[in-house]
Amino acid sequence: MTDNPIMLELSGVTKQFGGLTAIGDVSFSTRKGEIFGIIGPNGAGKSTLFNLITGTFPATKGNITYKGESISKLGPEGVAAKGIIRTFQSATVFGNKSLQENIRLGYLFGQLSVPRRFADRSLLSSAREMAETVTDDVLSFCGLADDRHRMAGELAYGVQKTLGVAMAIAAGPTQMLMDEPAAGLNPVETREMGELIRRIRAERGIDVVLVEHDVGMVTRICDRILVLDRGKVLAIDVPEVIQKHPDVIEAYLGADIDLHQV
Amino acid sequence: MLQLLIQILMNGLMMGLVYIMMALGFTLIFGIMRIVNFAHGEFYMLGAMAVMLLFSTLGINYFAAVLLAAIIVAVIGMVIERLLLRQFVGRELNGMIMTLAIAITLKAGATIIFGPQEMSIPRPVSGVTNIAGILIPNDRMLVGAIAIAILVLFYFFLRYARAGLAMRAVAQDWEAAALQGIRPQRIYLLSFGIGCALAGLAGALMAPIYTVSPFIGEVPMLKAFIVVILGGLGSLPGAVVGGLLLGVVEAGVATFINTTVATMVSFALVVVILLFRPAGLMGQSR
Amino acid sequence: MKTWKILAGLVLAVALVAWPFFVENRFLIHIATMVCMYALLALSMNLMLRIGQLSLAHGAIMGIGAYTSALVMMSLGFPFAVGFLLSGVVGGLVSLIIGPILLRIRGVYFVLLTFAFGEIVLLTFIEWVDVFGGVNGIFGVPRAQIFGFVLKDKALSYLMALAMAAGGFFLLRAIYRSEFGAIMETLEDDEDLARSLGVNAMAYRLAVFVLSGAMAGFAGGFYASYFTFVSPGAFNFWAAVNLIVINVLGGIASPIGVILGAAILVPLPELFRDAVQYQVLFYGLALIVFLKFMPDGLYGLIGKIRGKRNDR
Repeated sequence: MTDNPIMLELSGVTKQFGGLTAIGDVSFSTRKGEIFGIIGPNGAGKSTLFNLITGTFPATKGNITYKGESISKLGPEGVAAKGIIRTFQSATVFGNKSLQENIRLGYLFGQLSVPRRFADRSLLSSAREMAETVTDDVLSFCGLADDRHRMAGELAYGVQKTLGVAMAIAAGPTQMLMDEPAAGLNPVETREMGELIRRIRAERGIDVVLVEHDVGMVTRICDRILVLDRGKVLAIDVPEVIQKHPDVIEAYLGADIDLHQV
Repeated sequence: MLQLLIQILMNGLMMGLVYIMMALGFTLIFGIMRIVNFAHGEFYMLGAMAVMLLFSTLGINYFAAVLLAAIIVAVIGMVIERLLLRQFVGRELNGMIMTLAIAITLKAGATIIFGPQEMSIPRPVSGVTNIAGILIPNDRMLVGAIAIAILVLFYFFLRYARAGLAMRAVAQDWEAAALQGIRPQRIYLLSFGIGCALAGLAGALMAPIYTVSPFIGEVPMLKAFIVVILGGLGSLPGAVVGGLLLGVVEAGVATFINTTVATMVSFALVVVILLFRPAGLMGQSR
Repeated sequence: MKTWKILAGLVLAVALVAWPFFVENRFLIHIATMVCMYALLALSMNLMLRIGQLSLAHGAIMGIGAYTSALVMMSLGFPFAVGFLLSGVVGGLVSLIIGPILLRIRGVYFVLLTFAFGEIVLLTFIEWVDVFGGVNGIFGVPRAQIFGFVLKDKALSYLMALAMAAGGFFLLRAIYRSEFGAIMETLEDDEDLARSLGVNAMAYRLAVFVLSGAMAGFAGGFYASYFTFVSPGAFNFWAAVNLIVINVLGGIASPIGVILGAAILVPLPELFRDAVQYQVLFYGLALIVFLKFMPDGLYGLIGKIRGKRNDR
């Protein structure tokens, strides 16, 4: 995997709020086919880093590129148009629409955002059929087919979170950014979510970067892990090394979290 | 020239004090209930109407009439809050439409009861005081003095009274206040009542200076609106600074150019502030 | 069922077009014309309400359309067709220019911003007397003229207004049923989610604002030639409030509701002709009652009744 082309690359990314440095000089790169995890104790700056990559707000310094193109100044829709689709930490769905309509919208929006495909996106029946095919496919891929006609807002929290991932898949990304996919899930759901993420990479060929609080899940599914502490990179390595890394253990002991939980 | 400047400053200060009374209530209601009270000018009008009834029709002492007018307006305001506004707390857009509906209704109701014509009230004091060449009408001076007294009272209420502290707590953080056992429902009622009373007082005080009609509320409402945005929606110190600023700038532009341009300048300022410093001149930008 | 619906629609369309030629009551025709004009304006406001951005500048934008048409005909000497066309174009153009600045702001701040913008526009009309005629406005605006026909006849003016309202209605219905409409809805529901999936929210908001501004501009152009005068007082923020009232009473959820709201509210003043204030009072009270008890408007109420009937 180390020979695969570089996908997402951050160089010297810094974010200051007022005088406070939330993210200080963070550099790393992910490679094709990788599931890349970002962990860190509370307040380490995980969310800030995530929001910088997704274009929610701009970095103070540094550059972010995807496949060699700068995405630093694109804003959320611009980043999405490059094939990078994010998911949200809380269950974020269009609550007053059916589950399958949510997925159809995910597909539709993904199509809209890529200008060269704009021509296909008409009311032509072929385009409609295409949307239906994709929706059905994503529904079964995520195991949501049974609930397809239910209102998204009425679904259980865990199902809503899966739906959020399903919408992102339907948008047709080459890279997914997941903000705490396991947050709010019980251990069974967390395990299923981890499984889904691995299948997204294996069966869909989508690269994944995820920010996560649940260290157990991250060490289980990620190929490489970045540990963030007080806005700086503490370590980047494979899970086996990260688990034994003295600095990492110390950072986490301070935060009172057992690395070997789960 | 210096004398003219001081005269402008004095005129601006007098108007500014009235603006502050309007703006404080407006901003208090927004800060606590998140409701933009488009009916605020109507409470000003009601205050003026009440003073007309009590003072010129019933012949009650002017000062007692002003006090009674404020109480009447506060009660009307509290009834309206309880019946119509409470369900809109925090639902900004619908709450705003509701206050527009209340404004329409109050104005039409007043027109039906009092008629659309302009009426005047005898002035409780008359004459002009000349201080080293600066002319100040006595009635204006009286308004200014009472306004200052009310503002000082209001300051001490917020600063030291338990209810005042609770109001400030709710304005700052609703949930934290609820955790401390403050019942927001009562605070809403109280703050809407006080906000309306301040508007009613402004109307009652200005009634003898201008004429009274059901339509006099609109201009003070517009002024309050400008002041509150200058100072930052929901900020009490901002309302004070914004009120003085608007009063003085307006008096200046009106003297050297004209009042339409003065209003235009103030609205342009509002647009610029909303775009670049939505928290107002005084507030921390978000 | 389907053919029944089409037939009913056809009959309704013919009736709407033909009645003024049989009922030669100038007053009724005038009221119907006003219903159509306000329907178009309320539909333009409906677009804004659909994306959750309540605009108090729509009275002013209508005014910009009205003054544009009047000045293009009177000062520049162009025919009505040009003036009317430009009223919509300029309405849309102004929206296009101010939109990127104003639309960044949301919620109550957007309302206040559009309110202040509207006031500035009105004060400009008042202050710049040479061009806009000050508080008195402009008198003697030429009447509408289509293919050489001067619309002096009330019935012809009505037909023009009807065509505009119908155009607005079908345009909005088509938009709301299309994927553009689906996107508009998600902008109101959860803009962050829509953007994360690649929707350029600002571009869509701007498109909605420009369309809405153009519709208000056209209504202004019609207004100028129908009344043959324009003055600033007609375009203040209460004009925009009226459009919101029509929407709230009729129901924001459907263009039919908006038409219904206009058809009920616009003739109302005539029921209270002797005492305008009773009409205003009724207007305010009705709005209060609706906001408190029927947040979905008349159309929602009809939907509920129909729903109950189907349950049986």
